[in-house]
Amino acid sequence: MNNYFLKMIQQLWEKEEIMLYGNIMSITDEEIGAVGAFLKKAYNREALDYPHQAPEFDYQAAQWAAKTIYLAAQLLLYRENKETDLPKIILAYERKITPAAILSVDLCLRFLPALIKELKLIDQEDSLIEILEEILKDWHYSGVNHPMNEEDLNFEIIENDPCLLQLYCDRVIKNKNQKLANHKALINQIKANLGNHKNQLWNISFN
Amino acid sequence: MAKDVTNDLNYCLSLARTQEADLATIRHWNNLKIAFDGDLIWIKDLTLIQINSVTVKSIPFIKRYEVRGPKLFPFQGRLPEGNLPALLWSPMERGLSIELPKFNFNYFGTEEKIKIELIPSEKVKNASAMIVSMKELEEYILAAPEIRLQNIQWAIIDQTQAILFGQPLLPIPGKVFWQIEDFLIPAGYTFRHEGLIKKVNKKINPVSNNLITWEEDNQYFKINKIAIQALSISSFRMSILH
Repeated sequence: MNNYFLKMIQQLWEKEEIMLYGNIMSITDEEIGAVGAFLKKAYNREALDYPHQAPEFDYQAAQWAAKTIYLAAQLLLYRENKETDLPKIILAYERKITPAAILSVDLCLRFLPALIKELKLIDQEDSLIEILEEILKDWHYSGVNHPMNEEDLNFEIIENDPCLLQLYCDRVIKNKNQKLANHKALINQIKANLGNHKNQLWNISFN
Repeated sequence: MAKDVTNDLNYCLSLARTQEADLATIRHWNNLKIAFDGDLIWIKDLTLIQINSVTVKSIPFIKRYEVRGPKLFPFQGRLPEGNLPALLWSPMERGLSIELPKFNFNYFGTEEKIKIELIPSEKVKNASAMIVSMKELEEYILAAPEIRLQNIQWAIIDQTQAILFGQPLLPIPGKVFWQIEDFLIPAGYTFRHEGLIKKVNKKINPVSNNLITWEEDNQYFKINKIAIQALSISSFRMSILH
């Protein structure tokens, strides 16, 4: 049996390309299980590079994110559903957001900003954009390179986990996101990271 | 009106030819002229300061004269002794040739050795490497921001020490080095014979595949360039696990 869902996620992960094998909106449990196993491996490889103690992989969160990105990609290419059906296809995350969940969903959701950009090129008014941006707002670690209103973002979980906080700052520095760097939750850590070498590494002006 | 000869007072001295070598101390005064007259050497155009200087006075068996017009007076004397002889004057350097020691082709100097050693340097260079203890590196690196590690490469020296390369270096205590060619030498030092380091490098590092860490006590160890890897949290974790 061909697991097209797994193939799509692998392709996305390894080549950073979306490849779909037809308009297949249903996903079996078996397929989800295989994707979960694949993502766990990917997570453990990445976690070697995480500072401090990396949290344990969160299967359910990662699988939810994989489904979300897969279905969003399906909707990008084949749109046969009505707008009102969209919330039924792209389901909201219902469990508690934890540092483990944030890092696990990031494996897939980090591709969401690029996908939203594609959607915007096709139709600015698409209500799918709104749904996906709402998701990014909850999982804003994956959307550091996506224009967002910093006021809406909740940094409570991120601030309290040293591993996640450092990873978040790394990402802000990498994307040179001035606005986020000046956010009160991050500014001290970013300043400490750049230290005396601010001019050499990133010549940012702090508020 | 008669010419005031004191305006062009000028001094000269004479010396026996056999004492020629004693003139070495004033040979570098390039305003002087020299001439040879039989057994005598004449030197003219000395200034008052020069004729009075210890350098001149300390030359044995010289006679000092004052030249007033064509007449020659003994220095500080009143009665002329004669005229300045008409001679062929030439500049000192040309008149007094230097005899260079002959090269001894039979001498091979096999006993002589130059010690390659470090001396404090006045030139300031950017530090490009540091040796740190594994323990301190671990403490920093497991919480390190990615941006600080991006520019750093590293190699493990032994169980307790590692060497880091790059700029800016990490904010941990360690011994800092700078680089000359393939040599890493402690910051603040340079080689006493810097011109020789290419030769030394060729000798101990013929294909230039190593970096040579040279310490103040003139001991060195080599680091294979292939062993130098990009530093990341994962590269560190994988290295200490193995």
